[in-house]
Amino acid sequence: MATEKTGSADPGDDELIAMFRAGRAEGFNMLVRRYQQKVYWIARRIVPSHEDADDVVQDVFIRVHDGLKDFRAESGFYTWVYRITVNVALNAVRARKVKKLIRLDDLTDQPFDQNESPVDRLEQTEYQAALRKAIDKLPAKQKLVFTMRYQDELSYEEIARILNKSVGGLKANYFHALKKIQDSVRRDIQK
Amino acid sequence: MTCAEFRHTVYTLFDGEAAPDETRAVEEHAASCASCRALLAEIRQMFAGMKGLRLPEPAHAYWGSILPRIHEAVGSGRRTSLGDILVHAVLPASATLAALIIGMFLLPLQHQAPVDEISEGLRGAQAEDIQLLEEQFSFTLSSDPLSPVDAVDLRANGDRDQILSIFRSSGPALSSVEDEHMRAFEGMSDAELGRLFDLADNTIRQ
Repeated sequence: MATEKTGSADPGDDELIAMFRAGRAEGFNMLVRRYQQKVYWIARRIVPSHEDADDVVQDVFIRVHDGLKDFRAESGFYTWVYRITVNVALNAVRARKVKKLIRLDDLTDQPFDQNESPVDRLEQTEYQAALRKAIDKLPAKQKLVFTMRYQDELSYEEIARILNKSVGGLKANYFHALKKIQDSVRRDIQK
Repeated sequence: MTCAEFRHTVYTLFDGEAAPDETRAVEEHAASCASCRALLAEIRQMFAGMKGLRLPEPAHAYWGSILPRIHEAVGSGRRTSLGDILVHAVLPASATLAALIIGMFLLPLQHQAPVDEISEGLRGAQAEDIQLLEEQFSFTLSSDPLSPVDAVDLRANGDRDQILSIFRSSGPALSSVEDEHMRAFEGMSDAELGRLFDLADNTIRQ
């Protein structure tokens, strides 16, 4: 979860929102700069291409711009933005603005450890291919929870606020996702 | 710890959710059970493998291009006039929708003048009826993961399809006359729809 304040010298989100409401565009600009990368990566894990993620980023911040005057801060600003991002990205998928959810084939691998043998590398490549396939096969909602928990490292409480789901249900979703990934990888490797 | 308990708990070790005594129990069980030890190794390998998967970074210049394009889009006035009305609405979308529904349902509709019919219905609506429906819509809006955007869209775009979707999901109590009202709603022009939203907003502000 992002902090609402990035440093002691930086104004907090609430302060920036107040600036924007007072007619100072800089408040909005700073919010965009502060959160644009987070929004991009949330979107990018849901939609299949950089271009689709860019569309989502634009749409999200236009909505934030339009909605900020009425934002009631019942949840934190980042929670609100995260929720909008997830919804816009899923809507984009649903509206068939994009053809598919992200496929894990789109991912690149991190460089291999130079100390690994060629056999290790081959096994690693096969293993990661199996992982990609397994994550890719998860149902959309389960994949979303998996992404939010594992990749974005949000707490269950934060995910619950964003998705309006119970913490218990989310935990079950997440552990089911992990179990499915594990089973799928095992089956693939044993083939 | 039994093997079944182990399988139930082991994932929490990698999730930062396991209590210290749970971690200890899992590790002790793995030390004494070969099959659970193998499972633990497999899960460790899975998490290590997942760390190796990542998406390509966009070009550095990309980050600097976002803000100017947002300002361009916001400044280009791409919002509709109905959107402007809704953006400036003081009350939440749920209240406006509740008032609209009340208006729609209090009087039988005639397709020639649905807005007038609804406005008459709105004037006759009881405050508690509006409150009741508002609560229902607030619940609908908050219980659906997509609803926060629905609310934003309603205020920002006045998207007819989304409004219809919320009307349709508003509960069995409203379903008996749904088709008639949906047809009337779908037949409205943007200007009529704008009037209706103004009317609903005014009614619930009174």
